[in-house]
Amino acid sequence: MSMDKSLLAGSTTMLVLKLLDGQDMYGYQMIEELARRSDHAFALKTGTLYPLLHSLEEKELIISYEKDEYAARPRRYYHLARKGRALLREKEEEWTEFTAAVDRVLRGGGCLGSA
Amino acid sequence: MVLPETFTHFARTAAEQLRWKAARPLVEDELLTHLCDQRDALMAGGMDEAAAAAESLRLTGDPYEIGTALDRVHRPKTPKLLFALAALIALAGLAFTALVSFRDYELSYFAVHQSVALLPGTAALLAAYFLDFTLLGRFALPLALVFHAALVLLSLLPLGGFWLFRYTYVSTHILLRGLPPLLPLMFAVLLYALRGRRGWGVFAAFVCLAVQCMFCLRVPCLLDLGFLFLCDSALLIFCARNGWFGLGKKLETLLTTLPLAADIVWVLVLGANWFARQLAIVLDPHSYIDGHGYQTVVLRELLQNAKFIGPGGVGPYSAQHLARWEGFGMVDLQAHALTLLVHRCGWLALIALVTLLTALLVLAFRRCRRQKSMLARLVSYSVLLSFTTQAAAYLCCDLTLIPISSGVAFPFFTFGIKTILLNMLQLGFLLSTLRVGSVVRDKDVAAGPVRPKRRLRVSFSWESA
Repeated sequence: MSMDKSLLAGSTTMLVLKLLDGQDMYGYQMIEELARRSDHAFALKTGTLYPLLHSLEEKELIISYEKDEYAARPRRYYHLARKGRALLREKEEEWTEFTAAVDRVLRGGGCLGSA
Repeated sequence: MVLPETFTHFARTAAEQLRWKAARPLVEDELLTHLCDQRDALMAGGMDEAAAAAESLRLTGDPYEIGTALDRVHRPKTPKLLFALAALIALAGLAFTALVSFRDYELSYFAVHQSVALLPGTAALLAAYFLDFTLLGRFALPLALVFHAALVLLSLLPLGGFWLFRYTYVSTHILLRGLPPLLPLMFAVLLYALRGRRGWGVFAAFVCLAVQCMFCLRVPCLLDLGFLFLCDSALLIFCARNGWFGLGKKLETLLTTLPLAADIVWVLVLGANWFARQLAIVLDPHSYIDGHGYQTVVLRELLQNAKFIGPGGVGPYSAQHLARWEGFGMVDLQAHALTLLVHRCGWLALIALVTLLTALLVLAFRRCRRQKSMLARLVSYSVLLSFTTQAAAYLCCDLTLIPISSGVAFPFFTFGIKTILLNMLQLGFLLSTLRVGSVVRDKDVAAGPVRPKRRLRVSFSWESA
C-alpha cells in the first residue's frame, strides 16, 4: 500500500531522534534501520536526512563524531544529546496524544460533554 | 575499493551548492561515505560493482537538491554577543581613561593614546577573525619554530636597552613587555604541530615551555611567569589526556604531569622564603611600609575608603602619595587601573566590569567546548586561559591580595597599545573558532583552504565556406 508522504513529514525529527535513542548511527545506517523497522513503509531520502541531521546538530540535539572502524572511510556517527533526549520524550507524548485523538475520531466516538 | 569518479563528482557538486566554503569538505566527505556505504550494501546483496555504484547514485538523488537543502542549514555563526561584550569592556576602558586623563592631567594624553590603540587593535581583531584560526594550523610548525627562535634571540638582547642606528634608543623592557600574553597561543600552535611526534613531541614541548619561561624571567615579571606556566601546563596536560603525541593517554599524562609537578614543588621549595615574605606583606603591610609594603598600604587605603557608587576618600599614606604624584601617576594608571576605578567610580563599577568579562569568558568557554577539531580547542582554550589568568592576576594585584605589580593587563580595559593590540588579536582568533569551528576538522586544516575550481573553457569553432 502506498503511503501519503506528508504523513511522514511532520514526524521525521521524532523518528530520527528515536533511531539514535540507544545506539549511535551513521547516515546510511539510519536510512536502512528506519526502512527495516517500518517494514519499508518509510524511505528516508538523503536530501532530507542530512540537512535534518545537520540542523539537529546545530540545535545541539545530537552530537556528531568521526569513527574509523572497519570501513574504508571514517564514518560520521550521530549521538543523541541530553537535550535531544528530552525533546524526543516530548515528541513521543505529543504523538501518543495525537494518534489517540485521531483513533477516537476514526472509530466514530465523540465527546460526551458536548452540546 | 577504488572510489568511482562519479561519486567524487556527485559529492563535489552537492558541496559546491553551499555558499559557506568552510562547510564544504565536511559535506563532501559525508556524502562520499554515504555513497560508498550504499554501494557496498548493494554489492553485498549480489550486484556487481558498476551496477551497484550506478544504483547508489540513483538512490541518493539529485546533488543540487541535496546541496541546496544543506546550504540552508550551514551558515557562518557570528558570535554577536561576545563581540558586544568585548566592545563594551573596551569602551568602558576608553571612557575611564578619558575620565582620569581629563581630570588629572592638562592634556588628555592617555585617552588619545587609548583610542589610537583601539584602532589597530580592532584591525587586528577583524584580520584574525576573517583569516580565521585555521591559518595558524596550516603553518603551525614553521610558525611555532620561528616564534620560539625569535624568543631566544630577543632574550639575548642586552638588559635595559640599546642604541639602534646611533640615534634611537630602544628599551628592551618596553619592547618585550607586551609579549607574554601571546605566549600561550603560540604554545598551543606548537602543541598542534607536535601531533603524533611521540617522545620527541613531548620533549620539544618541554623545551619550548622552558624557552617561554626563560623569556618571562628576562622581561622580567614573576606574575607573567606564573600565569604563563599555568596556561602552558594546562594546555600540555590537555593534549596528553587526549593522547595527542601518540604514546597513549596514560603514559603521556604521566610524562607531562610528573615534570610539571616537580617544577612546581621545586619552585615552592626554593622560593619558600620569598613566598613567606609576600604573605607577610599581604597580612601586615604596615610592618614593611618603607619597602614593599608601601604599595599595598596605599592601594588598600584607597579601597577601604571607596564608596559603593561615586568617588571615595583617601587615607594618610594614599593622600601623601596622590599629592606627590599630582593625581595618580602614569605607572599607577597602567598597573592599578582597577584600584583607581574603585577609588574614582565606586565598587559598583568594578563589579560591573568583572561581571562583563566573566560573562564573556563563560559564554566563550561553553561554546568552545563544542569544537570538533583539536586546533580549534587548543586555540580557544589558550586564549581563554590567557584572558582568565591575566584578569585574575590583575584583579588580585589591585585588590592587594598579591603585593607585587602585575605585568599583565586587564583584558581590553587597561591602558597600553601592545596589550590592547595583542589581546584583540587573540580575541579575533577565539571568535573565529566560534564562527567556523563547528565545521572545521583537523584533516581539513592540513589540506588547506577550500578554493573554488577555476575551469578554463576554450572552444574552437569555424564555419566552412
